[in-house]
Amino acid sequence: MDNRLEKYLKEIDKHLRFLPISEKTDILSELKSSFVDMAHDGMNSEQIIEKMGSAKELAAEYLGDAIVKANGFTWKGFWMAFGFYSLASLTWLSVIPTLASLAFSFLLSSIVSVLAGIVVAFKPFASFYLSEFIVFNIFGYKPEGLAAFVIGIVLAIIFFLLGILFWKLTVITIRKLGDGRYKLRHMA
Amino acid sequence: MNEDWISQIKRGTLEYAVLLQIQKSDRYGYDLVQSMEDFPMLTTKESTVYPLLRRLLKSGYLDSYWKDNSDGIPPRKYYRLTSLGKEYLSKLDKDWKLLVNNIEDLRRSE
Repeated sequence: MDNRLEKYLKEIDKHLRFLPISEKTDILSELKSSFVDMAHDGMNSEQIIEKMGSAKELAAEYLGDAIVKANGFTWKGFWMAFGFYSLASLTWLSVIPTLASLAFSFLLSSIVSVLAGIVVAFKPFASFYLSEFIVFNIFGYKPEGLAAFVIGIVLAIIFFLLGILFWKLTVITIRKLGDGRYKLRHMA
Repeated sequence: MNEDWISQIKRGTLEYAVLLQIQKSDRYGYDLVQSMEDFPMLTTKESTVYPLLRRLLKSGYLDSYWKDNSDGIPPRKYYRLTSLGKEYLSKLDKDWKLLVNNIEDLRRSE
């Protein structure tokens, strides 16, 4: 068996690393034995690989079945899907938590802005513990009174909209990955 | 033009086609792919047949064993029908007949 076929099998092996070893070995031996048959029929390595299709797709067919077989949520299924996608689309996987935490941060900032605006606006009327130390500071500009309240609301709206935007992006990304999973399931 | 339709039919009937072949005699993957190349409506890629065989194996419809060969050819993985598989296949037979009859009825009532 030449280098290219070995490489092809290694790639399959990598994609199937979350399958039980016995199962993976069985799959790889079967593929290997059919490569030998194809070579016996006069095909060269390039033709064999072309006939088999990409290693990733073939692995996805195997995994797709394994993931779908495990009905509902199982950790095994999760790790298999994770293992596959982490190779197929590591970027997407890291994008989701980033987007989600940005969305959360913006929404939190929005609430804080309203509170800050209120606190600063009413500081002259109600002094309470530490209230002297609370300052609204926007790039050096320190609004007080009604201005602080208005700015607080405006900031809150901006943060709120950003939060919603990033949450939408998160959902879109998850749905995109979901489509991938759907494809994985229905390719067979 | 109608490639899409053909590929959908293939997807739906491949399982049946594979089981029918294994019913006659024990088969290995490459050999199944080869013999289906003789049927234009059933021609299928390895990347579809091998995972399908695995799925049928896991569902308990098939059983597998490795068989040594002479003259230096490495062992091949053969598949055979289990009793559950036979039962399943007879159900598919019935469904298939029903489908063909239904379509025929529709064609005649045209």
